[in-house]
Amino acid sequence: MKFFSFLRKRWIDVLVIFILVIATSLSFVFVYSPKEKKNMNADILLENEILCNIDLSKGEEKEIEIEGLYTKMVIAYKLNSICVKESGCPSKFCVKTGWISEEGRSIICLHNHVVVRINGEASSDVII
Amino acid sequence: MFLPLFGLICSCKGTVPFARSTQFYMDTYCECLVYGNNKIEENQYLAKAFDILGKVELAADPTHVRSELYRLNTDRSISNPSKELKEMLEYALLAKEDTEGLYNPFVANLKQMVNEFKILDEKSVEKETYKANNTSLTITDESIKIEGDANIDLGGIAKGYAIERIKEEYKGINGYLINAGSSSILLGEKPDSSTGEFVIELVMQNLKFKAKNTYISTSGIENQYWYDEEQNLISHIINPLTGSFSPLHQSVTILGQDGALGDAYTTAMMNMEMDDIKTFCKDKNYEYIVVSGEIGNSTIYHSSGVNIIK
Repeated sequence: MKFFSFLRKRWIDVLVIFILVIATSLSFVFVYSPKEKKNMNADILLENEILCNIDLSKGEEKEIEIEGLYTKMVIAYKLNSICVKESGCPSKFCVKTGWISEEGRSIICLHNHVVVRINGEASSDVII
Repeated sequence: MFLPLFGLICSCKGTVPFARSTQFYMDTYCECLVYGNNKIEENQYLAKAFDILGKVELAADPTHVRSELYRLNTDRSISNPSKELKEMLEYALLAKEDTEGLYNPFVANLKQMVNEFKILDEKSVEKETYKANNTSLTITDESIKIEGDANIDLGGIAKGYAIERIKEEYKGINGYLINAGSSSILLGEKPDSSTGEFVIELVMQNLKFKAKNTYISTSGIENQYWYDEEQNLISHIINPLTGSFSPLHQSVTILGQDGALGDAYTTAMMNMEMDDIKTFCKDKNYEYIVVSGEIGNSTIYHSSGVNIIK
């Protein structure tokens, strides 16, 4: 009975505390929950023009061959990841980069003017 | 309990719209990003940046027959040089002097050898190193003349010079980011961040730091190295004094208010001992991050002014 009488007298305070607890819980969820990789997709660009877009969320494991500015390249992809598997460029730096799987990340083949970029907002503004 | 809520409220400044464009200049992808609410004005600023990058490329591309530098290397002198080429060469000579020859613009032939993956025979390297250290320039308002046999490469100057010119054009705005292929970066302020800072990530080291209103210059071997038959590491970073292609560090990043010289300085610092880097950066008022040691077993050194977040 005392509890209900307390509620009746201080219901505004209780309501405010209740709202704050809910809001705080939601903010925890919003701030700390990992972002889901929904519809992750990658663009392959030649000279800044999109050659093709690949849906990485389907989980297909495939390889595609593209013509870079000077040589052929093989791009491989699987669930939420993509890489340059082969390139005719002299340095093979693009191949050495390996698999990328984060939004906003890219692989650049300077020799062939090709960029493989996973679309989305990167966690960093600049990646060196 | 309320800390995350407070943090969330503080961090939610709202997303500020921006215009962004990426174009291929100077053998790399250059990304320009300008914040604001006026799309036409933002695009004008982007166009200004790419116009400067185009002018600098036309002056400094050593491989393009239309470029001034190509003509200078071929004809050994040119008349009526552009403002861009003249200023870049002056910066290059200044950087050479400041670093006591550890940055040297006369390494074009050595660079070509490594870029073409030619077998680096000792005699050729020795010959080209000698040429690089025995060539000079005469610069007047009317002409530029190479005295000696080496060719010029402005790879360590051109991008930094371009972003310095872009900064002059961007005096009327605060929110921008110009990334000339990671080696030369110009940061204004990020309007939708609570502190105005951008987050920069050294991806190979999984290291993040924050910065604003600064130039950032980086030289590093990253994935750009291989091993010769004797298992010596070969990279595109050359020590012009010794002809070595194996620098002392994996990467050097500096932050400061000098854009044009930054990339040349970091190139030189790749072949400086750590104590010399500290002294050099103190003298020149730069903050630094140096990644040293063997690949896969790195040690990171940084000055106290770098705002490391991870």
